[in-house]
Amino acid sequence: MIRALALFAVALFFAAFAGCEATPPLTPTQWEALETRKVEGKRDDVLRAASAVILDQGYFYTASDQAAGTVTAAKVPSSQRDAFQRSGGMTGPAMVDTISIWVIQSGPSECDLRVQYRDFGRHVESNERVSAFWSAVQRRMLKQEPSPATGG
Amino acid sequence: MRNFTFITLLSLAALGGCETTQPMTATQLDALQVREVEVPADRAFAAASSALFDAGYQIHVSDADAGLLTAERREDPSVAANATLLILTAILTRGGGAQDKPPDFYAICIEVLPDGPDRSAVRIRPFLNGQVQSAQNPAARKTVGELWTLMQRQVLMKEPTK
Repeated sequence: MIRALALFAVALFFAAFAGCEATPPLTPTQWEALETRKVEGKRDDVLRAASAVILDQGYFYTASDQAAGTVTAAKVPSSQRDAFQRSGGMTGPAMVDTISIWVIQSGPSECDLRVQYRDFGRHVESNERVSAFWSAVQRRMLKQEPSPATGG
Repeated sequence: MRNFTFITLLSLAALGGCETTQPMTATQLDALQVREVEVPADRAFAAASSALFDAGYQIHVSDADAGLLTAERREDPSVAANATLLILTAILTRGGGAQDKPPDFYAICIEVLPDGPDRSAVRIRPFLNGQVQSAQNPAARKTVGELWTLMQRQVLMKEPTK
């Protein structure tokens, strides 16, 4: 009887573990698909619109390379404000929320916009946030005047 | 019954105080933060960089091609204020948790956008301790106003003689 009970307990223990199946991490291709959206327009215009949206969302720029089409920005969460102040501000090691964007010309009048969020250093898997950013960029694109054509 | 009426009225009064402010749209933000200058974008960018130097900011990000700038300024509390706070918190916590006042970090993000060959739009966004300051905040408005004055001075100074 005791043996049967022990066996039952062991079986229950393993069954409980089987329920704790962790979702596998996304592959680089899946991340790319999740974070990339198409935007109509020239790369410079899209980059400008995306940079404006970054400011709209309350981030400050921490890196920018126009030639590469990348911008990185950060925002200090309220819980990290004191740590930010005590560790040297922007140059300090305080944990912040970041956003990185990458704009690549994918066609004559179309760009790929990749948006990557990291909250407290953790890569954020959020289709909604990327879509919200993309919508805001689209709205900005409608507002701004297109840049003059370059080259011949 | 009388108590019930009183509690209801009190709850309604409390709810009346819970007026929430709607977040501003991009257009509203632009109206408050963007100013137009009658110079090409490269000159507006140079004027913005110069204004930041004049105002005592340290530039952390500068991308002239994209028209983006980030700069930061540290402001330490006075020794007297820090000593007072240390003594007061030490007394109140009986020596267990004396606290000092950390420095404040003021940051500015600037976006310079070309608006035709001889015009550009400049957007100035102030931050305090890593968090964006509302465009209606009086301190933020003062900071932006001062930077704007410095920038205009630069633009005027560099105006070519006709």
